[in-house]
Amino acid sequence: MKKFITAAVAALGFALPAMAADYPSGPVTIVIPYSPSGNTDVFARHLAPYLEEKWGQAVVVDNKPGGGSMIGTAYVSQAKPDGQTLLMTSSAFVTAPAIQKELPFDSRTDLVPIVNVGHVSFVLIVNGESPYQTLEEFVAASKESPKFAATAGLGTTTHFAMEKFIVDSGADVEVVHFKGGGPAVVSILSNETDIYGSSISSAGKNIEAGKVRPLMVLGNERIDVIPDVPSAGELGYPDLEIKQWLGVFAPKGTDPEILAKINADVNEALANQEFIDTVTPLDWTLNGGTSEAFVTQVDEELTKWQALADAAGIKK
Amino acid sequence: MEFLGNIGLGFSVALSFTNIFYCFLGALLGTLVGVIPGLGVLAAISMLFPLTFHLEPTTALIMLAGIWYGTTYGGSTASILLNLPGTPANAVTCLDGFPMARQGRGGVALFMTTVASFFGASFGIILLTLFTPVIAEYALRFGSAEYFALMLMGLVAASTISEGSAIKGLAMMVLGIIIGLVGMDSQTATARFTFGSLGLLEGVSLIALAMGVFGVAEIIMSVRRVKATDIDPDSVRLKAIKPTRDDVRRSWMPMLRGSTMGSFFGTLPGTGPSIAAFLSYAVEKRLSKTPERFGKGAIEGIMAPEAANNSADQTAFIPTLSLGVPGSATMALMLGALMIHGIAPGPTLISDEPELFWGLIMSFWVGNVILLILNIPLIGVWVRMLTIPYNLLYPSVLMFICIGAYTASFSPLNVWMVFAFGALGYAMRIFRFPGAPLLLGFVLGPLMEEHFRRAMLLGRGDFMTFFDRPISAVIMALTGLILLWSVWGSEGVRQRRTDRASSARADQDPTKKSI
Amino acid sequence: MYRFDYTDLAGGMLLFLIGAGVSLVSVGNYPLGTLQRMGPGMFPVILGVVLAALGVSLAVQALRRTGNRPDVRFFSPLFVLGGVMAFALTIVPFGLIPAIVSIVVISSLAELRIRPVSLVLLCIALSLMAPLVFVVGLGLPIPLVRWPF
Repeated sequence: MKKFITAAVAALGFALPAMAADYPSGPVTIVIPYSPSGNTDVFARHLAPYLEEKWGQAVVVDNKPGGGSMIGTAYVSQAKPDGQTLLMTSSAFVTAPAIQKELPFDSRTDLVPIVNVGHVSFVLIVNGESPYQTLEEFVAASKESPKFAATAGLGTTTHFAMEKFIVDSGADVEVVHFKGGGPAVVSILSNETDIYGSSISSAGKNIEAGKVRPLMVLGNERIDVIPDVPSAGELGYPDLEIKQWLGVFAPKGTDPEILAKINADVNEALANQEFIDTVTPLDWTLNGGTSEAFVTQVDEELTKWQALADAAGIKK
Repeated sequence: MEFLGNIGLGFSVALSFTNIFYCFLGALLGTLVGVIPGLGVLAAISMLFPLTFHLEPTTALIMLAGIWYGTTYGGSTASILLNLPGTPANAVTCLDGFPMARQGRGGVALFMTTVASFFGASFGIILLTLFTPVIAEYALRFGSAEYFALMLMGLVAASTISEGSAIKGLAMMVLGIIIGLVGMDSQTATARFTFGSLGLLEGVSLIALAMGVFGVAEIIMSVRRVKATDIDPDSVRLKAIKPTRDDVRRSWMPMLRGSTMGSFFGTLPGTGPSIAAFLSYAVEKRLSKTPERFGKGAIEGIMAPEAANNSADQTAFIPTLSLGVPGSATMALMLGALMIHGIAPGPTLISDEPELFWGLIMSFWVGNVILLILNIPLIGVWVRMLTIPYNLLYPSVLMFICIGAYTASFSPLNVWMVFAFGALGYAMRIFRFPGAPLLLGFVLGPLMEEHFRRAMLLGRGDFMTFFDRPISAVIMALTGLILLWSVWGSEGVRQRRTDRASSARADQDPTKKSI
Repeated sequence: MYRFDYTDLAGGMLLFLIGAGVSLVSVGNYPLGTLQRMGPGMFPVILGVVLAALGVSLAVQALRRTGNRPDVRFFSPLFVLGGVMAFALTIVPFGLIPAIVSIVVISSLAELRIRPVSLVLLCIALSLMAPLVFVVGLGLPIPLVRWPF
């Protein structure tokens, strides 16, 4: 009997660590910490078939929304580190910890960044009938009479973008939180607030219709769809390089070989022309790259946003 | 001429075979989801969402929209027959629908709510067709101060929504607002009353609250009391759906007022059909010469809310499509269906994608006619539910409630909430606390807090912001008038009521409780 | 008939306790903030006080009138809520069908009599119907039976 138990334990012990060679050994679940139809969800659902083809296994997109993406993230941090459960989340992963207290996981250690798949750019917008033609005019006007900046919610990337803009430009602006990007754009349309760092996809049609006016791209390069709008670098704000990125993570303790394989296969999918043609109309810029680069980026951003939260006096 | 051309274009899209098929599918599914208590439209739409990848964007939207407004049609069924709301927007229909069913007028109630739903929806579609761009512009005039004023007016207007003591009604409204505070505070990210639970950060589930306080509590009260043999067999025949001339006469104005209010609330992002239904009920009760009939099977009490929630369903598309602003999570899903196909909703949608816009709107006519045809013959089937022995019916209903609550987020937490609110609901029955104000407080409370705090921030801490802005000032003045009116009117009414109540108490039927 | 309306008296006191509790918890844990930038504690504190005040006035009124014995039952809530609890406990580890059977059996006990034949038939019927509606019809991903051990 004793022998049998030893043998069983030994067999289990050998069976447990998933081998990179035969990864994935079963269906892979990509957890999205947002509701269906959000841009993260849409991206994942477009990517899944490419990985499915590559791996010969079902790739299931599973939405676990809530808590400003923290519920789904916490779920994956507790998942088995066998590469069968992955997380695809946005830059809320690095901004939210600077605001939210008592997260049930440690964002620096409990999840391993694998690959940065892409990003959406932000653009500062004002009402189309407002007198400000340039950002300079807006900053100057704010010093005459204080202005309000909208955000898509406390701790979101847009919130940090606006705080960083206020710190760097010295504008006299106070942030007001809305529930999501939609209501924030409306507050610009209705003149309730004065400036907002919107994603291109939320503002696009309104820019075309002249209802809102883009003043500056939050990044150091101009964007193809709005080529006339100056970049932050050109206007002298080189640090306003703020993008909402999207990345793949695994629970800590996942075999490095598996991580390397996922990184390579996702990079391959990102280079597929057919895939590029599907997602670029959705305003995504694809990134890819090594996992080391992404680990460094996540680490740096965690530090950067925490420092900004402290400096701007955003209380935990 | 261009207008007729648009309508023709819309019908040519909506009447294609594929689109009629998916419209039918959506409407049918919506009715089913609506009839089953606990299963929400959001869950149903999220589940079908992946299907939209493979459909044309217009077809996908037509189907999702069919589920959306079909649910509200079906939702009144369980409210009327079982006293538990099919969807939260139908909760107020219980107040008079269930007494009607108990009086053997369940068939009439189902028929008339179908008519009211169709009327309300048609009203909404006409507005949608004629005025979308205009309405979208005017909705932009509503900032946080206006929203707060509106919510305040809603609470004041609805404070007499239920029978009995005003103090109890107010207390339940306040308790509802407090329950609504549970979760992460949107302005400071502070977790309030979550007791460390990550799942509660999202707040209390509206479905769990409505199902617990109304559904589970109702079942506890009815076990061993309701017998199927109490139902008059004649009342479940199909011919028993014919309304009396008096019913028809009393229904016109409530339907019209309900549709107007519903259309208004539908256009404001973040409000929606539940609020519209509650408030139109409150308005009918206030305007009625015989408010004491309400809660005892008054037909006005089902016509107004059902017209309101259906018209709100239709006009909710105005901000979604023309501003690109979803008014609710469900609408956000529909926007998502468009975004997947690379179509960004916004002010230029109507001119950029006329086929999609007009096709969708004209499909609403198709869908509503389908629902009308689908629902009237089904009434005979539903009413027969009343003849199922209660000892078989209630475990089944309880099971549907639990599955519905579970599927809302695939977490047992929602089922635990049903448990907790079932216990609360039963305690409320013992203490004779009404449930409707609790639900209304829960729906309005968080919006009120959010908008009040934002308005104070934007107004730099000055209360006058609510009176300086013209629209807000008008709403505040109306609120004051309603308040005066109720104080002035209450003396006489109270006298009349106590006379009636003391004579009625003697022969009170123990199975009939207002919720 | 009682001298006071004890139901409302107890109800009022209960409301007072809830209101006071909400206010105290909020004052202790959540910042009040200023009028311009209100903290998360402002609304709950005010609401708690209002609820407590409404509770007191309900209780005071109850002392001025007579009341009837409230209709409190023990077994109906026990078994109906017990069924819901059983569903919550079984759905994740064991799957849909065991959860259906447990909620149906336990809540049926609220009838205070057992009809074995109709109960078994009901369980079978619902175990067939619910998966058909939810899993097949609506395509919801719920496992039918699961064994966690």
